[in-house]
Amino acid sequence: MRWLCVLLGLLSGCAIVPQNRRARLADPIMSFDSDALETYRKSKFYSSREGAAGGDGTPAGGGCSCQ
Amino acid sequence: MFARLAILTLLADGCGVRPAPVPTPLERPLPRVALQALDGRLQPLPELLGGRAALVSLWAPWCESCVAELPSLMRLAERAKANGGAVVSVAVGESTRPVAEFLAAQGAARTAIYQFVDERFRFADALGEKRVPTTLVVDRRGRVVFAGAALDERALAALRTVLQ
Amino acid sequence: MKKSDCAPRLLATLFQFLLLICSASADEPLSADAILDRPPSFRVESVRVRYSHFEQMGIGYQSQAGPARGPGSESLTVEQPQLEIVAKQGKRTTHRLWIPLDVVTAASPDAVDRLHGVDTISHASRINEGGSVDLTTQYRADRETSLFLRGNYHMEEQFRSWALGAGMARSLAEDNAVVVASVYQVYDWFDSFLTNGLRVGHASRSTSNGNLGLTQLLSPTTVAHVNYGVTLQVGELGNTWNSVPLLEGGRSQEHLPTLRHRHAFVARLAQWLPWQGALKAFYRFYLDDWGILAHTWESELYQRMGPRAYLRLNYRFHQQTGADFFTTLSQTSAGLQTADSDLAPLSAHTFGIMTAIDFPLKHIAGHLDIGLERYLRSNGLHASIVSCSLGLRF
Repeated sequence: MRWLCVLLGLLSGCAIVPQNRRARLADPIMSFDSDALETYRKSKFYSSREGAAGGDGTPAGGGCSCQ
Repeated sequence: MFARLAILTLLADGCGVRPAPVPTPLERPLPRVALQALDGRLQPLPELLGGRAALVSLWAPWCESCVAELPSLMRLAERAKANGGAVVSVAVGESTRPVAEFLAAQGAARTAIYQFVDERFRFADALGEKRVPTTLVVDRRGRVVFAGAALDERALAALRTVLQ
Repeated sequence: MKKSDCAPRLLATLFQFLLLICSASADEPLSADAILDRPPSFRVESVRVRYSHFEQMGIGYQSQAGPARGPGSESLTVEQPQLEIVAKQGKRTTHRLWIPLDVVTAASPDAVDRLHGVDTISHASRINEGGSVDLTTQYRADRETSLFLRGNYHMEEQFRSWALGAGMARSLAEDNAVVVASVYQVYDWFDSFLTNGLRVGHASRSTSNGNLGLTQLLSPTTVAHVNYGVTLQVGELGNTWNSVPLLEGGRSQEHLPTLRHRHAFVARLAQWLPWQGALKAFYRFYLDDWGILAHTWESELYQRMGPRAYLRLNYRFHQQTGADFFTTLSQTSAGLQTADSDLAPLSAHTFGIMTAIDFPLKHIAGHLDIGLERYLRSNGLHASIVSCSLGLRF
């Protein structure tokens, strides 16, 4: 946890990108999880087939649907 | 989902809920940086205005709230022109062709708005404006008397004042 | 003044007042009313549907759909429709309603019924329909801060689940970084079965989850994201009909711990490429107290094919150690043990391709995509996935 805090601190000191220079970042192909439905599809698929899946951003477990 | 929320927050910030900017009389002169019209010719804004009061909007096609205020700017341009003013739109960080195509797709190719691009951010940087949308009101002497975010009642009030 | 004179005078005054209002707005061409669009108090922003189909072939020792001491079939098919509606209420509040459904036919629970001549897993063994209703409300408190609440109800034939979550996003450093913190609590309640299909009442589990994430702009073409998530699970943590082959013959019940601590650290990077493309890299480190340690790498390469279409290629590699108590042949029916192939030491590859097109309609932005994926797991399981999506943004 201490290392995470250090990492967060280091990253937040990075170069400032003015808001009007974010055209590339606004392209949907640059977005993380731009399609939440696809994210769910993947998450459900992997959490039903790999014991190590889940736990990152959303809870592991919960809901079976027996896949 | 959380990463999605974060990136949306980063991108939407300049376009979303912002604190009400105080319409201070900035009295800054318009920079004499030449802007490029969509037909390619270069022209400094003070020369274009030639003593007219104007509302200047800095925008970008990827900014959702910039696009959302386009119909309002079109209405405003017609009425400002009839009252001796002008509306100028400057697409920052964009080249002429994509902006022309975008405006055509939006049904905004032929309007009373003076359309320019500021591909290298020279105009925006000279003004010190780092966000889109940015709305400026310029008086008849070419001074910026109001700077705010999206087009709102305060910007319109400032424009009415300089048109009187 | 006579009372009879009063009414006409009043009407005349009212008329003059209305005329004044009308003429005032007509004389003021630059008024806010004349120029600005008034946003409706409630507006549907977007609707999206996605349909996915999985075909899985494979074997796992927990499945009874095979020889007594060997692995059984894990064949299944999944139909997965999803619906998402995003609506804006006022300037600050956004609601997201999401309804995912899963229709699963699976050989593994089917075999419990077939082998033992019972139907205690009931219709669920042949076709299991599961669905959720999920509502997230996000409130933009100020320029830097957003709060959100999430509620979810999940229902399957012999399974109910309730979930509640809350979180906060805060932008920092002139909006170049966003920190998101969230907590989530899930309670599952479901029928419990023995491996012979006999129902033995109900079981439950609780899942508590906390996340801390940071998204940071590194340059006008680069964005990074890191997230740490911790999950604590308590209760019945398995499918209760999973079995373990016994050395002496026959099969035993799976016995899992009733507690599990899970930690996941994720790092992601997205880089814009000068030829109108993007490269995304993903790494995930996972560790839990069942003895599973995993690394996952994923990369996605996007290429725009014009302003409205793009192509995506993706590859994912996952490697994990097995749970400490994983076995494919147990000497005893007592003690912690599982033969679940998901908890085995394994590696897996996923290859995928997807194409998307954005199409403008009148005042609507449309989006259509279709993708194919192939999943290959080292311990005898593979799956093919086809998924397509249609989105409309108003």
